[in-house]
Amino acid sequence: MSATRRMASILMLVTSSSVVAQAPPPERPGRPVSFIACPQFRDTARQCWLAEYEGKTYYIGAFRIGTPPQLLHRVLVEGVAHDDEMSCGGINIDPIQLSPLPEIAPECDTVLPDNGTGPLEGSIFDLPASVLAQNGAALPAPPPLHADTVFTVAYDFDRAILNLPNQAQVEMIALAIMASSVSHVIVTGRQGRSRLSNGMIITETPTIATIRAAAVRKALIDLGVKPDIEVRHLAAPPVDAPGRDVESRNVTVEVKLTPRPGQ
Amino acid sequence: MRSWGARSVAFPTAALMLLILFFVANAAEIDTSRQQSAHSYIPAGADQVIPAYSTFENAGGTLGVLNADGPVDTRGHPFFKPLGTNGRACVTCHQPADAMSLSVRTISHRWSMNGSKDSLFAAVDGANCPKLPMGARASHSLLLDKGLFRIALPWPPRDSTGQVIAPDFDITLVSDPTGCNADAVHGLTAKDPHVSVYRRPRMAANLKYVEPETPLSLWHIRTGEVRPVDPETGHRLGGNLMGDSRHATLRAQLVDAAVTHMQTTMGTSHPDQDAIRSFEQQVYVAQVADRTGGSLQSGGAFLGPHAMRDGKPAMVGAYSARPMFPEIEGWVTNRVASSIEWQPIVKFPEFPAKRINEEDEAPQQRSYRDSVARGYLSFMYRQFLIRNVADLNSFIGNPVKQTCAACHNMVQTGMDVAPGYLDLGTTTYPTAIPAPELPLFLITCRKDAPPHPYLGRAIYTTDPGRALITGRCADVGKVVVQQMRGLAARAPYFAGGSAADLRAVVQFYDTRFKIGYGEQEIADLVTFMEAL
Repeated sequence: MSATRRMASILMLVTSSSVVAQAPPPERPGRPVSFIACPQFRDTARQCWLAEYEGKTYYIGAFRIGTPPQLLHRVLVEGVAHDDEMSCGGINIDPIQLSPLPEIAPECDTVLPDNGTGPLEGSIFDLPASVLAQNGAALPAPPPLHADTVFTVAYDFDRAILNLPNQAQVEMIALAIMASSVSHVIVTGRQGRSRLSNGMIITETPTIATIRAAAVRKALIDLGVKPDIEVRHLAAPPVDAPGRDVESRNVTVEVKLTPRPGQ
Repeated sequence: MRSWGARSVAFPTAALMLLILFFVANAAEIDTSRQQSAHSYIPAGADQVIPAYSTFENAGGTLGVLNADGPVDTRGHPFFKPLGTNGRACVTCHQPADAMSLSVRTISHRWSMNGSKDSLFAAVDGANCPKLPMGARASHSLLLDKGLFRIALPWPPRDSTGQVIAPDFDITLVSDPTGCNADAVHGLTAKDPHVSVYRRPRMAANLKYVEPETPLSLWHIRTGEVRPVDPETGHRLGGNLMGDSRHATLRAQLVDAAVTHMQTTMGTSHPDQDAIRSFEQQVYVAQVADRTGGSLQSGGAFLGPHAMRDGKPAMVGAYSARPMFPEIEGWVTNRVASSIEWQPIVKFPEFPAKRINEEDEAPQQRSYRDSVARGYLSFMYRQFLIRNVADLNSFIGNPVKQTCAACHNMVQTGMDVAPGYLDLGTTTYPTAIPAPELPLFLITCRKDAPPHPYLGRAIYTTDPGRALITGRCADVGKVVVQQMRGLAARAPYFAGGSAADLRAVVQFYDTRFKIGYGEQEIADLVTFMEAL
């Protein structure tokens, strides 16, 4: 695949309505990590992102579409570190969930010079042409629903924007609703929390559940779903609530679809 | 001065003009059979026939204007007739000779001819503030010096149904050189509060790219919102119309313009709306010749309005796989590409060894074409770190190593397909070119609202842009990326007219992103943009 072809493909990805579905990678042993740090930009030929935490440098990704790291913002890094794998000069984290935090952090402004390193993983530019060719195509119509079904839209921590994967998920939910005879749609926004590696528990902005649920409802309606959608908001439960898993992120919106009887 | 096709011009005069044009055309050895003065201003209420194809001289060379549906009779045509009470028509601010926008050169010419009696200088928005004395030049200085019209927007903003939107920021007036924002009648504390900002008129041409029937994506991929549907056509709307995208359709825009710019009290009839829309959708403009380099439609290049007519809208450029301006590709050779001293973002493709008929090029013409080609390569391939551009960097990383074409990504126009409201820093400080003649606002965002991603919660700006429509702090400074066509005909540039010429545009970005352009590269980029 030529470089120019790869660049054509990535620009298609940037501007496409749907994303390429990929099989989840097999689980590998590793060390769970969760921390907040300043991202650092390494100005290499294939640009990459690093973050330092407790004296170690972690690799947190390369060119990334949707919610990439941001200088001037701290980033919540959640994932599994592999100390025996180095990428771009940092410990590889795979899988990884990045959530740039919304507030400005002027101290996060480090651009590192090119040192000849590069990301370990293949570039998104290297996806097979056959896979990339599917990008931008209409999503397939889902099969009719026969029982209550819950779809989950997983957000970045403390962010309410439907990012690129979320957009595809909401589009799929809308298709599911319109392909079936659905009697009831409930959109439930949640305020989540996360336990960091240092034991600290961070909680999302209180209004985020409401904002997310409203955004998903509006998107569904704009995609053609009838507006009689029930909306609920759930605040994060108290940390010491019995039976609650404080580490559960719940950084989500759930959409529950109830088909009409006889479907 | 009357322009071409005017019915009121007596036949002998018209015949003499044609004769003169015949000789001039032959002397220049180019097809200028319809070439006209740059001051072929069409006044409101004009009674003439505009040819299917016309050309107009400008500072860079010659602009081509194509009416794809054939000649246009302006008599009684709603684009050309006054629709309101101040004598203006759409054409008052959307002149063919100025690429269907309006240059400061033309504005100055109108002032020198008619002074403030010209409807162009109507108090409503052709003055810095309607309360100012209309005869004085100083009262119209923003229009005369920077081509800026006053845009008065309701504050707080309202949605399309007229409902008030609760903004998540407060506006403080820091300075008010026009006096309009502090004015008891027109300002922020008036009974009917408005914010006055000052903006350049956009091109009313090449509109199939601006309002495409089928945008590239169902979603506004950066904000995560589904693109709205035009209830009239059922089409998803692109969002690239107007500087702040406050109206999503041409119809909504023109209805609003008839009220706010032409001061109609009667509304605009549906047939008139249809006629204006139909006219605007068939006008294509682009530069066709350069003063130094000659025709832009030879030697392998095919720039001009016909290529605009034939192009496909809402296509994203992708380096050599989908060139940004395919009309220029024919001028790029391996000789030119190998002379580049910067590192391209991707490897150059194999370009031809030489241009079509390159051996026949005069030295001056060869130098010109090489310069256009180098500028084009720089625009499309020269990588630099793009930083702190809301929404672009929020979406692909801050910073990101990319090129001019990251933001200016729509093939043949250089608009942003996404759609394109971005805060490139042209109206927000510290990056904006200082403009003490404009009002300065301090935007203070509420603590519970998402801040502007790179400017935070206290932002100084001469024009909050899209935020005046949405009420969102995160939208402060966002301006819809404009077309890059017909540039030589419509200086000055940027929404606030802050770049007097194309060199100033390049220098703004050179400073903004610390690119490090050399003198030759700046000149090449200017030459390239003038050719569009």
